[in-house]
Amino acid sequence: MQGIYDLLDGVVMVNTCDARRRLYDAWKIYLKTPFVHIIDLPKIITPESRIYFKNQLLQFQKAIESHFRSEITEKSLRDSIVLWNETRFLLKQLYELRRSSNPPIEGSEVIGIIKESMTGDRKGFNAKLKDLLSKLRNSSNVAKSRRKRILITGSYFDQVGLIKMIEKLGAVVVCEDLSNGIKYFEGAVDINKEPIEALAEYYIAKSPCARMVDSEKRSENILRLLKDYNVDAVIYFALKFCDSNLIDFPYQKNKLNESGIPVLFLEGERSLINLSQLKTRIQAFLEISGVL
Amino acid sequence: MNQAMIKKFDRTEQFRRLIQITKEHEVQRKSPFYTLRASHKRLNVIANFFRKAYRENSKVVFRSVIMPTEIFFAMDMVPVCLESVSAMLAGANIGPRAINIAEQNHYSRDLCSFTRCTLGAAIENYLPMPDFLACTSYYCDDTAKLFYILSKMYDKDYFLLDIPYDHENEDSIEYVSTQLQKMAKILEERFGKKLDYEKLTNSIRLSNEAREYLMKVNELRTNIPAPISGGEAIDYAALLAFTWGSKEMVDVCKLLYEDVKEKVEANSNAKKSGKIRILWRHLRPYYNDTLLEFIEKDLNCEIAFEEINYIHWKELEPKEPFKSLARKLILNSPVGPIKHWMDDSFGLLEKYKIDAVISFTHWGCRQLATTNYMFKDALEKRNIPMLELGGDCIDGRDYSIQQLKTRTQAFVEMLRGGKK
Repeated sequence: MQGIYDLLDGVVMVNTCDARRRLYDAWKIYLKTPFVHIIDLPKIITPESRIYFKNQLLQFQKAIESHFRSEITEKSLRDSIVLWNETRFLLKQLYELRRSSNPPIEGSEVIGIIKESMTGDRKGFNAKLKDLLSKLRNSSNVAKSRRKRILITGSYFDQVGLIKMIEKLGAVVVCEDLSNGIKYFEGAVDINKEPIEALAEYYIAKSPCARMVDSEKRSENILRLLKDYNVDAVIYFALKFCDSNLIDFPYQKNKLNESGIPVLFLEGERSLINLSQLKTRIQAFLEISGVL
Repeated sequence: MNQAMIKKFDRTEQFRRLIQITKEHEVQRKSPFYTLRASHKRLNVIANFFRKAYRENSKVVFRSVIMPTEIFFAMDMVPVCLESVSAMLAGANIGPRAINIAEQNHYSRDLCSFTRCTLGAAIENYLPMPDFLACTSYYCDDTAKLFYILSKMYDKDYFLLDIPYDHENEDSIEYVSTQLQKMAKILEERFGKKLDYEKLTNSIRLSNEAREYLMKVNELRTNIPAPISGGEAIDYAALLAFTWGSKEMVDVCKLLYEDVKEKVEANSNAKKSGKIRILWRHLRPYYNDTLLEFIEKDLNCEIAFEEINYIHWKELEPKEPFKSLARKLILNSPVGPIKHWMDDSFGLLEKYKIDAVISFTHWGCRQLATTNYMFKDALEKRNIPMLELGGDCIDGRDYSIQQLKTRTQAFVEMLRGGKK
């Protein structure tokens, strides 16, 4: 409303939650962005919801083509999928490195890489990531005593300061089960299928977010990650008023506790300002749960 | 609270627990200021439905507030609307106890108190054991999850009816209609009983009949002075939500129509009241019923209409039950773009000669929190002031009714100042 986004030609949102849906409404009313579109995303994965979501993507394609007067051909879509699959593959390799007992990269660095992967020139990013992977593989990573390994799950979270703090306390963040973590890139879009169908299939069935109704599927996914990344403790972060993550917490906590994994619940705004208080809580959690 | 931890009590034991807890929390309250015969009948109907849900041989379905009930009645099931149950528990003064229990089990205070109240009651195990749970993805994000969690606690089947955002698209109608048919098939398999289409047609017919009476009531309420109080009217659509498609609902709505008609006739020679006429958004505090009475009696205003009582859908088509129920669902005002909601609500401003709007903003309700600003802004452009009255329908622990009254009084004084 202050004109910060006046530079945009278009905005696309996904109907992921009550707040996002109404953000779309507010955007349409108060901002003058020429193209504003919302893609509906079902909360369940069924044959009917797959068809519905595929139609949503087809409508989105038509809306872009019509507004920007530019045809999206099957070839151009397929080429784009191949390029993005490469990003997914490279990010997966980066995360594979974090599975080692002595990860060559800190969690506080990875969160920035994921963020960068979401914007900008794709080919350029892929080239930079390849370089980084090569350096990480060839680095003489000095063996440290095994640090305790943390997984972060919950709402969107990009607090580098908090991750640095966890890592200064002697633990290491080895995986982020977040929309801007492993959920963002896991898997690949099937290039052998019709592109829109393949995209619909990928996005509806990818690693479950708390907004999808099947908490058990989410739980199974978290437990898989705990095993893959040899995790010692979980930090569950819920954005203030993020209902999907708030209501899902007790379910996930029970499942984690049944597996003997301690979990710390943190609730806060996106811009965490009370880092000192959080430090005390995190330190106490790591000590009490025997992680430190 | 672990999943699947609800003990398999029989419903008689669950009812005994409910009565015992109700007695422990009994408070002396003055009875509601009901003046209509229909309101007393409505209370009896709701109580009877609720009691029926505790019978051992009942097939009980927990459903969310806009999940169509007509299909369940056609399957001889007893629908229990969990939002209505929370309202009833709050009215019986059990709300804080149930909410405390949910919070002790790690359910955040930031979640809607309707949800927390239901969770607490389920954990204490005095809700009637459901045989099936059916929920829509609207209105709220947390309701779909609540039903999922309850289905795990009770170890019962769960069906989520995914309601799309795009309300003007035939794909959306088809999507919902297909899901409703799928749910009917699941019910048939689960309970070993074919859906009786004759019964479904009858249920649709009864639903249309109740709708027709409520439409007539809504027309009669355009009369000035207001024939009935909003404080009394607000509970009709909300608390009767789980009776659509039943004979009992038709009886209540018919009696309501007769009551309101009598009031209009009795007022035929009355002068125009000149009272400030208010459109009420959302619900009311169920733990204390004096707020709306205060506005209407002490502040001498008329709550002329409530958004919740607006009939947004066309008559259902008995020959196309699933499709017309799908259309009814999708066209619900808060479903889809805000423009759709605003068009419905702003249509009421002229119809009911509204001077001001009060939006009772229930804590944890993202539908209101995310739309109040846009509503207020659009209303101001129409020279209609809106009071955003922050409160809680279920949990009275953080809200003083006196504070709400003071804010409302200041708003009304401001309106009167404007009128001068």
